[in-house]
Amino acid sequence: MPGAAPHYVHWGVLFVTVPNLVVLCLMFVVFAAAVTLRLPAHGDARSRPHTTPPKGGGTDA
Amino acid sequence: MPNLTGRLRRWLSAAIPGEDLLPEELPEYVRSYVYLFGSLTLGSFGCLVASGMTLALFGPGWWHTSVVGHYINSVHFWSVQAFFFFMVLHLWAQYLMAAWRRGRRATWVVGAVTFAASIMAAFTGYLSQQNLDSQWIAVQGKDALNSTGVGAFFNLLNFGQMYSIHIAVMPAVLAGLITLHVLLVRRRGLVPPLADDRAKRGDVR
Repeated sequence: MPGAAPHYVHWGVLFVTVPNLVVLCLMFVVFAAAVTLRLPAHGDARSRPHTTPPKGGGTDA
Repeated sequence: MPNLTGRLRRWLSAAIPGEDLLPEELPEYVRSYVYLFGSLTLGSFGCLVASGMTLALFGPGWWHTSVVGHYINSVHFWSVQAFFFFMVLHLWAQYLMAAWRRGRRATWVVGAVTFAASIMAAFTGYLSQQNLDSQWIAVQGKDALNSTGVGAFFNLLNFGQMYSIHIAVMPAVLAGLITLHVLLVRRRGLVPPLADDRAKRGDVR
């Protein structure tokens, strides 16, 4: 490759460049975070169930 | 007897879920970061198309020499990184939740074909950079492709062919596949988590 040769990490016949390994690790971290962290509730009140009666009577009728 | 236009109209109205295209409400199980990867991939594709169109308008002489050209070139490059980053995460998520369940096989297959087409788009993009990297990749890659027998009609050393495929053919193919994928998602619905399916079958462990 042109430019500076990248560093490689070897496991037997498998080898990967350090930048690619960093990106792979980052992908695993992001994926694990997405699975474990809870997405906050939407800011739009209409998308949440009412916890208090709406103003003006409490029914839609 | 209905004519071709009428049949096409009826087929389109049956195939395209008009009222489900841009839903305001989604199932509760979608409230997870895992379900965002597909949208993030789509957003990256939008940035790719916008920056790519700008690059195509002004050409290599601009993107290699001017400050704004360098910037737009970088936006295109980092959009590709984001596109593949989120697409692979989307693939992992859908694979691990067996997203082809309950009639979603076509959605899965179209997604897999889109992934393969994206690799082709990225490869021709590498060859279209007009720098030492692209020349190096073209000269190294031609022997690999020649050994498969496709070198006669897919010549990596032919910049015009690679550039045309990258800016005309592959964007159209990808846009079509992504549109079909999104339409299938809207038509079949977002796949529920595996736990929901187990609970419905009554075999909760």
